[in-house]
Amino acid sequence: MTERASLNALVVFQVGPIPIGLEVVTTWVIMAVLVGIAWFGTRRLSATQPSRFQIILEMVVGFLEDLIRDVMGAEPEVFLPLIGTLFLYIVTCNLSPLIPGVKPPTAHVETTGALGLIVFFTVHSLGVRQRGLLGYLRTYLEPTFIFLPLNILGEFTRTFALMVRLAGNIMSHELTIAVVIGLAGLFVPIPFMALSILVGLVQAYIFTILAAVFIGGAMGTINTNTP
Amino acid sequence: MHIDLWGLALQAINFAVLAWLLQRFLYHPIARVVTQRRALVETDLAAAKEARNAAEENRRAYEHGIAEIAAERERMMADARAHIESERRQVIESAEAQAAVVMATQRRQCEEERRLAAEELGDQAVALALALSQKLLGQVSGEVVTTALLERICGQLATEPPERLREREPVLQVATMPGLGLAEQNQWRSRLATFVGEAVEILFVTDESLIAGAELRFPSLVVSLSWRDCLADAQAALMPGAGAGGVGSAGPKATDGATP
Amino acid sequence: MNVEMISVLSAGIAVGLGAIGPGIGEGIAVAGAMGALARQPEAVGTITRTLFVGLAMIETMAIYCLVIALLLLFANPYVHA
Repeated sequence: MTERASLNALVVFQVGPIPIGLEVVTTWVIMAVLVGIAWFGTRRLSATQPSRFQIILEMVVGFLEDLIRDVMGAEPEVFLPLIGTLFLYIVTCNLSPLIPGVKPPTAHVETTGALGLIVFFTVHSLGVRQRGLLGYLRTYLEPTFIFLPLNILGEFTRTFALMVRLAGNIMSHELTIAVVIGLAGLFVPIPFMALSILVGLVQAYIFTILAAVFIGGAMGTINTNTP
Repeated sequence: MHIDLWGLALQAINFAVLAWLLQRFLYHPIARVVTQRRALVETDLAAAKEARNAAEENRRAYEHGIAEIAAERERMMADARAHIESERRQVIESAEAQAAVVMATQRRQCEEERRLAAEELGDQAVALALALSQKLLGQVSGEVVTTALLERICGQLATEPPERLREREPVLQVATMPGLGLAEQNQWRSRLATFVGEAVEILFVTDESLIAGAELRFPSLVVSLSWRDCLADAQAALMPGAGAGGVGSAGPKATDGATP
Repeated sequence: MNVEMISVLSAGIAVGLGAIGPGIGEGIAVAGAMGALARQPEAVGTITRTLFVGLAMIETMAIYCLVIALLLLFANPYVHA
């Protein structure tokens, strides 16, 4: 059962008491790549004669801003670092297995759990800041106080679902491709890999949208109650 | 399956760092440049709007000019039409006025001629009547006439209130035709004195214009009885239009001249 | 029949049965979205986004089953390798 390791972090090296897993190293690399691309693309910005690369970056940022504006109904400047970085990081992670030998960090519950926890705490802190502590707590009594346990349960399950959905999808696709490669190594896995591209993009989009919906709902700009 | 809490914490930190870095290197610069471009575009748009407004202004001015020219033409045409109309009306009016004047003149002339003819006719009648009466009177002796006249005058004076004839009238002129002889004058004076009193001085004159008759001329009262008056009455009856421009006052009458 | 065999069997059953419900649900959701798109092609953005979110919600059930299956296969607390 060599595949057992795919659920647990593979420790690459240890810094003092801290074990550094493979997904953390991959994340560093991905961070370096993303920041490098951003730095390279924004080196020479021009308002009148943008380079091709700048146009692509502007399209990406514009897409994220539109997404935030549409889903949250709020001005995108405040949430762009959180929501935009979520999307870019998850997309990069999901597409990273296309490079041979790279294991996507989002296939590990640690990574998606970190993202889910960040969203969780953002939701509650913003909700408290927006409505005050009592006002925010009162939203758990809606529509009636009977719903209080359901609402509290929903808070945790939806965060849990958020992180497990992403990790499960990516991990299952990794496993599927691995199994197919084990059955027939040549050419056959290619459709599955193409499908994994689609799944990776869609899952990143869904994670971002859901995070935006949760935050917007806590702020009261939109009204949703999702599990 | 156990969750690696170190990995969880590290990934969370990684994500926070990545968010900060991307904010620093991607979102901020892109947002800044987009804002710059939007400002540029807005400036350009404003300039374009300005230019379009100017063009619109020009077009409006041009259309305004065209409309003005059309209005001017319209006005001139209306003026000319009104002018022509007024001239035509003037011509018609002057022609009508001329015609009216001519007609009035003709009518007046007709009137005049008719009147003249009537007058002439009346005059002729009067003259004929005069001639006739004079001829008739010539055959009758003057005495008969004057006696009859005296009787009638006295009858007329009798109708007058006697106080009016007395005292106030110091002079009485008696005009007669034919003239009176001395005996007749005495007879007339004695008869009249019964009416006007002895103190009144009575003068006798002959007046041919009376044709045949007598007139008692007090300073403020005239009592007359003559054919002339009868003829004048007849003439007035014949020609109502001739009016009072005739020979004398009508009929035997008393005229109160000097009212107190 | 030992614990490992039962675990493998349960994993298969969990994934297989757990896929039925979400499959039907996703089919209904996509059909509804297609109908809405046919009626209002101009609302494609909103419909697509809502569809994806809804599909993710539905798919969560299948993912739960998958997680159970994976736990049974690779992280079974009753199997000590």
